[in-house]
This record gives sequence, structure tokens and C-alpha cells, in this order.
Amino acid sequence: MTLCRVGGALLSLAALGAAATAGAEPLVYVSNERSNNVTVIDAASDKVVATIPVGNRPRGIGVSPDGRTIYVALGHDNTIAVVDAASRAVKARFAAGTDPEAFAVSPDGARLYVSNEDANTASVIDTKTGKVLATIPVGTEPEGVAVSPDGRLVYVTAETTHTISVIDTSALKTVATILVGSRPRESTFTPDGQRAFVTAEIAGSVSVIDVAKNTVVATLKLDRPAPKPKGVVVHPSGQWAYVANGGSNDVAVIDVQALKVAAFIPVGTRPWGLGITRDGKKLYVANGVSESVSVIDTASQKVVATIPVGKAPWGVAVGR
Amino acid sequence: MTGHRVGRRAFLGSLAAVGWTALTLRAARAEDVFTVGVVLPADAGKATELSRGAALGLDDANALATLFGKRLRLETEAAGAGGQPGRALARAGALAVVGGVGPGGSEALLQVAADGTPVFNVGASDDRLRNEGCERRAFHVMPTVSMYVDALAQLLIEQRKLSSWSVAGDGSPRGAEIEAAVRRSVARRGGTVTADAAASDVVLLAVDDRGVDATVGRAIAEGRRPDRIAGVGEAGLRLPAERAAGLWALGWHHELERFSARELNGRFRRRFNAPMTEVSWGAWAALKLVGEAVVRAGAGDGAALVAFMESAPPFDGHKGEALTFRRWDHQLRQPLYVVGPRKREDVVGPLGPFAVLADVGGKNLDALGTAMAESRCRFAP
Repeated sequence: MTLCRVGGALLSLAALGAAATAGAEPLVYVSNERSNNVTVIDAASDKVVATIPVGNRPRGIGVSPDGRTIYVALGHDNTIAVVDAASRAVKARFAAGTDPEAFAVSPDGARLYVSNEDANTASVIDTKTGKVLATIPVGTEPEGVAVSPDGRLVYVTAETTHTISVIDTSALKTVATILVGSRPRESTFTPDGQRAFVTAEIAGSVSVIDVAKNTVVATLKLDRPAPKPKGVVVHPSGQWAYVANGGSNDVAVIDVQALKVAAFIPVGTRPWGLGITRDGKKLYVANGVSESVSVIDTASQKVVATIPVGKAPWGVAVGR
Repeated sequence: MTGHRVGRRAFLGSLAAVGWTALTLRAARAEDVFTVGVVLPADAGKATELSRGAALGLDDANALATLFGKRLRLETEAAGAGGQPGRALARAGALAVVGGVGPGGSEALLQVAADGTPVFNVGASDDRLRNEGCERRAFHVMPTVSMYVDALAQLLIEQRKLSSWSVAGDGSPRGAEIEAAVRRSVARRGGTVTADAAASDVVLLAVDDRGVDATVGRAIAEGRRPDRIAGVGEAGLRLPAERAAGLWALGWHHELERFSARELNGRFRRRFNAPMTEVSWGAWAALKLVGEAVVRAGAGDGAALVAFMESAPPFDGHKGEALTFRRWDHQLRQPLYVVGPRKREDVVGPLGPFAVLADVGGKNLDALGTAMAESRCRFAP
């Protein structure tokens, strides 16, 4: 027991140290698919503070819970780059099948869940060793990956079968398959883990899932011409969900309780990845064609800054 | 026509009641099996293209269907074996029949539709089939001649301002249909069709597929630039690599990459060691469409299948847009592509003599082909 307490105290100190290393304000990391780097934005000033070369065709991006490590999927290198947040240098590369695109970091930081598009599987990678712990069959052309807040479930979208494969992270197997709209791209959970939101690019809709029942409880049509929704995040309060509409160049704001689209916020051209700060005050939108990031003030639902980044910005991850 | 089903009808009914958005995996129960007929043309090459596309489409359809206790199976029938191709498949209980490839293939297919079984045309581009020859239970995945010509006109007249066209025809029925489409499309865009080929910006081939090689050769011999010759369909792609010329409007190309076309083309090539052609894509799409109808709508018979297709479900054909059937003639709306000759020094590795130059249609897919106002088919009110 005493040892546990000491261990806990040490962990807390380590976490504090990590936070101090990364600074008091969060950093925002943006993968640039065609300039092969990651742009680092200081969320306090909304200025670019660094650009990190990572490798070829960076797309999916995530940050460890302690903020010390950034993971970047490198499609043309067939690896996940492991970037040290302090030194801003690539410190390792995990093998990740062919053309890795999307992944999610477990809440405890111990695992990466990676979709393998060509193999129709999801891989589970140990972040300490880089070894693949399991390979799990999912739907055809898997893409978006999301982990539930409690870490118990992983959702993997499959673009060709229009499904969500629900993976039990203890059993490491698919325990349910949910049919959603045509070409599901990404999913995310509400903070309480009770609902999940799934974007369907060709259907132009968002499927809302009751997580406990594995059923679609609502399908929200995005009333725009060819909206092509892609990225989706939920506000830390659980009140709002935000959807990047790559076709209509805006972000849809969804009222999570009412299950209605409350607003559309115009942003740059082909908005794709989204990231929201932990306090929920700012939403960052990667505009793939504009080669910029739009910063949305979530209270006013207005773009308050537009930041030039690299070529074809794709994903956004918010650190500490 | 009732689809061939093995399994529990009661389960199907309850599943349909749940609605497609709420389906979840059901384990350990009997499968409902649905047969899809495929009519193979006499031409061995086209038959291979068709059967390969159908096989991949079957796999992709079953990757979804089997998650929900359903399965599609294929039955094939060779044209030229006597009788009317497709009828035996329909009589045997096929939920739908796929075909329309090769001479006479479309007529046989429409007869099957007239008899009551839904059909998917993946090979015939004749506008007539969607106009005076239209059938309620026929769905056309293959683009029409008008759509191809509109795609060329959008690129050449609207974007490149090459508005003076001449027609190199051969007097064949196919040539006549292409020429009619050219006159309609060029006039619609404010261009002109001139008899003076030398003075025209573009020579449009209005010939039977067998005449493409010779007609392109003549145009080149007369000094025409290779990128100022244009035609419809894949016939031009069969020109020898050293004589690759012309701009060709297509519904699919094996070098497409965007919108996960690369993944689809890759799956096809890995499985068959061959490029995915337009007919292959059409057959793949038809099988996927049937599979989605079976899973999403619980469509187990012809009427339900037709109702699902007419409800305009957004189909993902790896073309970046939601593909739907036009309600007035059952033609699949879809982006088209224009390919042209690649520089010889760039023809290396997997890159062939033709490259995709443009995708056409964008967000106004009804700008390609027959508009409702001019259609001579009226399924819609």
C-alpha cells in the first residue's frame, strides 16, 4: 500500500514535470500530408512555434495523455512516427502495416489502435515496445479509430462496408458491428461514453450511436450541398459536437442533447481534421486545400484566427 | 419476382421493422441467401471483365451482408447458349440480373426487366435504353453516350474554350448516336459543329468501336494534334502504346486514386492481376448495390429492390460523390473521367500510355446526360 502511494506520488510528479515541459498553455499539432511535417501551434498566441519534419505522408496524429509524445501515421513510410514533444524530434518508428492513416491513443497511453486499410484489420500496438499485441479483423477499408473515455471500447469505421466494428479492448476482439451511413470516416465518444458520433462522407450525415445498445439512435442529415463530413469532436462539456464538412467548407455544430444541427461555421477550404482544447474554448480546424488552420472560439462560434501551416494539413491533435 | 431465399422469413420482417440505421450484428443463426444472375457476353475478354467485377462486388457485398445474416451468391449464364439470355436466371429465382454487355446484351436484359426481374445494365451506353426503350425494372450503371459527350464538352468547351468541333463518322448506328449527342451537347454549350475538319478545334470520333483505330490514324495522318481528337468509351485505350492518342471519356479508369479509388483498383489488381475496367467497375457496383438493398432495406424481392433503388440511397462508388439513380430514367448519376495520352518518357512501371486528365461532373451530376425535361422516359411523376 505504501509502495503504491509512493508510486502514485512519483507519477503525479512526473505528470507535473511533463506539463511544465510542455508549457502552461496547450500546444496544437497539425499533420501536413504533403509537406511531410507537423506544425506546432501555441494555443495561447495562436502562432506557429515550430515545424517538425516527421516522414512521408503524415496524416493521423495523436498525443499521449501526458503530453510528452506525439504519434504520427506516415502513410508512405508504413510506420507510426513517435515524436518527443520536448525535443520535437522523432525518437522511434513503429511498424504499422501498409499506408497507415488513422489511429487512436488509449486513455492510459499504453496502446495505439491502428486501422490497416488494405488488410481490413486493426492493430493494437504497445507504446512502450512498439510491438503489435493483436491484429483484429474489422470491416472493409477501415479508417477512423476512436477509444471510449474508459478505454473499454474501440470503434473502427469501415468505409466500404459502412460499418463500425466495436472492439472490446480486454478481449481484443470485435464484439458488435453497427451499420451506419455510407462511407463512415471518423467517430468520437461523448465524455460520459454513452453516445458516439460517426461521420458518413457519402451519406452526408452523422450517425448517433447508443454505445450501450450498439444501435443508431439518430441520423443527422447535414443540410448542405455535398457536405462530405469527415472530422468530428465533442466539446469537453458534452454539450456540443463539431463536424468538419470537407465538401461545404464549414463546421457543423450539433446540439448533443437535442440531436440537432445548431449552426454551420464557415472555415477554409476542405476542412478535415479537428482538435479541441481541454477547456473547450478553442476548436482547431485543418483546412486541407487552404493550407491553413481555422481557430474557432466555441463560445461565439466564430473564427478568431486563421493560421498558415504546411501543405495539405490533415489531422489535428491538442496536447497539454 | 420473389428472390431466392433460404432462412427465416420472420426474422427478415423483424429486421426490416428495426430499420437499416439500427442494424447490429446478429450471431449464430441461419443465413438468408439471395441469388444474383450474371449474363456473360460471347466476347471472352468482356466476359472476363464482367465476371471479375461481379466476383469482387460479391465479396464486398458479402463483407457487409454476412455481418447481418445474409449472403449473396452468383449464378452465371453465357449469352449465345440459346434462348434469351437472363431469362433462365430470372426463372430460377434470381433477385436481380446483371448484364447488358456485348451485341444484343441490352435487349435481352430489358426483356428480363419487362418480365419482372430487376436488371442492372453494366455494359450498354445507348441513350435509347433510357428513353423510348426504358423499363421500370432496369437500372443503368453504365454511363450513356450523352453523358460521355457532355463530359468531353464540359472539359473542352467550357474549360478549354475549344468550341468548334467536327465529327469523324462512319455511318454506323453507334456513330449516328454519338453524332446526335455531339450536336446536342455542343449546341447546349454555345459551340459549333462544322463540316470543315481542318478548321475545327476538335475532331470527335463518331464511329463503331472497331473503327476507332483507323479513324484516329487518319486524323493523325492529316496533322491533327493527338490531344485534339476525342471519343467515348474505352475503345481508344486499346490503341497500341506507341500510337496512343485522343481524349476519351470514361466511367472508370484503373489509375484513379482519389476517393479511395486507389484502394478499389488495388484490391482488383491484387486479386486478378489485371486492371479494373469500366465494365468491371459496373459489375462491382451492381453487386454492391444489391447487397446494400438486401441489408439496409431488407429487400428480398424485385419490388422491394426497385423501391430501394428509386429511394435514391447514396451509393459510394469510390468516385467522391453520392451516386444515385435518376428517378426519371433510372440512370446512375456519376462523375466521369477524361483520359489522354501520357508523355512517352512518363510511361514507366505501372503507368500506362493513358493518364487521367480530368474528372467531370462534380456537384452537378445532372449536367451529364439527358435532363428530366428532355427525357422520353417518365418513371417519375
